[in-house]
Amino acid sequence: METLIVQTGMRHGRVAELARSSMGVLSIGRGYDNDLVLTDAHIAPRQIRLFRDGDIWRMEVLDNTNPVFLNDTVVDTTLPQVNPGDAITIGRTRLTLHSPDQPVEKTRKLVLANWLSGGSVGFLLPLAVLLFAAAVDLVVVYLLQSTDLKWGGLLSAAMLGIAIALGWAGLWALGGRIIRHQHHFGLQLIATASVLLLATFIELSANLLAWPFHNAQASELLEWIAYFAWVAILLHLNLLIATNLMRTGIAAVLLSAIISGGLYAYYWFAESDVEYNNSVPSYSSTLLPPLLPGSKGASAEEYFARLQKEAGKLGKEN
Amino acid sequence: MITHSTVQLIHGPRRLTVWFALVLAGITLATMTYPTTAANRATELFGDNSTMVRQIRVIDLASGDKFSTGSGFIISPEGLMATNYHVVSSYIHEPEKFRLEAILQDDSVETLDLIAVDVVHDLAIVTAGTAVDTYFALSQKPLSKGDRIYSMGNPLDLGQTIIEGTYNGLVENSRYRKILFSGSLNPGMSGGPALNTNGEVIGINVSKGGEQISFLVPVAHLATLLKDARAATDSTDFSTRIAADLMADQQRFYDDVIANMNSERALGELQVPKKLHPSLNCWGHSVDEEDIRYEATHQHCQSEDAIFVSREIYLGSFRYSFEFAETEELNRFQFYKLLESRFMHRPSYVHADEDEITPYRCHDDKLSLASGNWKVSTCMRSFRELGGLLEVSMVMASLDYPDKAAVVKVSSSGISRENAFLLLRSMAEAVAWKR
Repeated sequence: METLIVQTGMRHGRVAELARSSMGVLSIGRGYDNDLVLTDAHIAPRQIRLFRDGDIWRMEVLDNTNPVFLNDTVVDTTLPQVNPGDAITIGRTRLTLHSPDQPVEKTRKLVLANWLSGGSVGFLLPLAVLLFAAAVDLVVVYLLQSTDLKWGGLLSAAMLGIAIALGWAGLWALGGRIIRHQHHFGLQLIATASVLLLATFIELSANLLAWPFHNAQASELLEWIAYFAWVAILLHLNLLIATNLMRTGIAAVLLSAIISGGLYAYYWFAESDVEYNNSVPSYSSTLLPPLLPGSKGASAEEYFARLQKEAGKLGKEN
Repeated sequence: MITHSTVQLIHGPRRLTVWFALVLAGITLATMTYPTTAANRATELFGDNSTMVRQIRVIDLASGDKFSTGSGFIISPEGLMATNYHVVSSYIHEPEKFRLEAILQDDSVETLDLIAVDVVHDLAIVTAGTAVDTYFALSQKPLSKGDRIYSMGNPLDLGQTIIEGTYNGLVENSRYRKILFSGSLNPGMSGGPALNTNGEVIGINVSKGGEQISFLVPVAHLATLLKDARAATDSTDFSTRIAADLMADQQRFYDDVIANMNSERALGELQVPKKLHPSLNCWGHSVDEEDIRYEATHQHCQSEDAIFVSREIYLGSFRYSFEFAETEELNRFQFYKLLESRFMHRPSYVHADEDEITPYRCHDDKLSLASGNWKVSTCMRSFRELGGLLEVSMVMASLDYPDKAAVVKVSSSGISRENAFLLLRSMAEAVAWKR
């Protein structure tokens, strides 16, 4: 191994605090004549020396005032062998050793950036994806929810949905143009359309999941979770394409939490004041057709016993 | 002969003319006499009785001015006065905020005390504590449809009036059978007396239904209340009395309703209970238009009665409905989406606030009965000051068939907890599919 690389601090990216050996030697200390100068009051002016011994590297401790650790073991006066991946602790500083031929993997960000810069997806493919998503949504809604078997209203809703998706993708493309100097409108549109398609099924499954609870609060909670989930996925993809943010996942989850939490708080406050003028209670109104024959519900005894328990709580809230 | 006959001829027409004139005069007199005597009777009744009718005012203590007005009339030598419960209800609920006073014909003012209330029949007895010489007699004679009756009171604070109308029997389809008075009562006349031609009280003005349709409380309820008021020693706790009256009244009603629950009639492919109480009013309709892809038959029965308890709370509503729906064109998901839009609690008429009624508590679940599987939602809330009377609403929808379903709804306000559970459970179990 010709050269050895020493990395100080644990910070990645941005500041490369790396030192490279030259002529088979690398000295470390507080003094300015060292190869790697560390500003740490607990380190001697000349602290350690790493040197090549044939094919291997060894460490020499030049000052014993404070202990020097190699992989958390105190180094005595011998000259221990060091290898890439070892950690050296001196004073309050931790150093990591690397070999220059250590393979560096391509990151996912890099792959994405590579792919994004590879070329445009054009406009026809995204549009086809969007139309497909809208058509699936239309058919699903028609088959599961339409009671008058009319297409007009559903079609106009689908067209509105398409317009909103185009606008949304357009806004993110504008954002991308500003932040990354690349709009990627086609990709934004594909991402948006795919998530809208996913949302159709996420919201359906929330409805199915809520059914066994027969509880208004459970239905509401699952609805909000479904909403939160697909908004988070959508924002994650949008951010990934439009920005260079390090943690788009966390940012998307936070944004979605803020949006859905804010909306929930808005409805909660809006409703809390009108509770007494509102003469309709909140209850579980989900009805599902017979899908699983043989599933039994509560008996009359059980149901009315639980209802008695609820009645017992009347007037005990405050 | 000729002369004689001529005389006769001459006499003949003359006598005819005289007869004709006499008959004409008679008819004219008769047509004139009838309204004259009727008008005279009203004039006489007003003259005889106006001193025994008072305007009753609820005075807002803070502003010292009138908050609401009604009428009242003297019914005993010790000065007891009858009026409506709803005229004095603000004072009953908030005695620290109001007081009661009566305005006499000479504009002098008396302060009133409350003696007795009958919330169910909307009656109250008040007194100024001073003995009187003249007072109304309570009639004990039955009336026949078409009899003239006269109602007195102080409409819209415009001064004392008398109006004339006819007795039209007792209201049908009602739990508290009031007198149907074909005359026009107006706000402010509440609590005033309705008199027969002899000047005896046959009823108490209470409410208005429409053009020339007004209602009177039959005087028998006032006689009972007067007897109770005289027999009672301690009658200051009116809230307890009101709650007890409401409790006893709902008990009588729901005993009958629940006892009737077994009887069955057909609705589509369903067997449902018949009309559960003679006082209910039932309606039906069906939907089978071409562009609606299902057929539905719907029947609902409801009580037309409402007991005034306070400005926010009217009790006594009871309603149930059965709906049978089937479809050939909708798939099962579409059909149950449609049912979801029917699976709704009936909005309540009670718009009371937090200190009068608790928030709703609901229990929703899947229920398996002999008739099959149902989704049931029951919600209830409790009136805080009425001995725990409840407002309840139950909705249930059948879940067993992809193309036909039943939706059952029951709601009641002013029902005891015990009766509520009996009612809901017997209703849930009374609906069945036809064999």
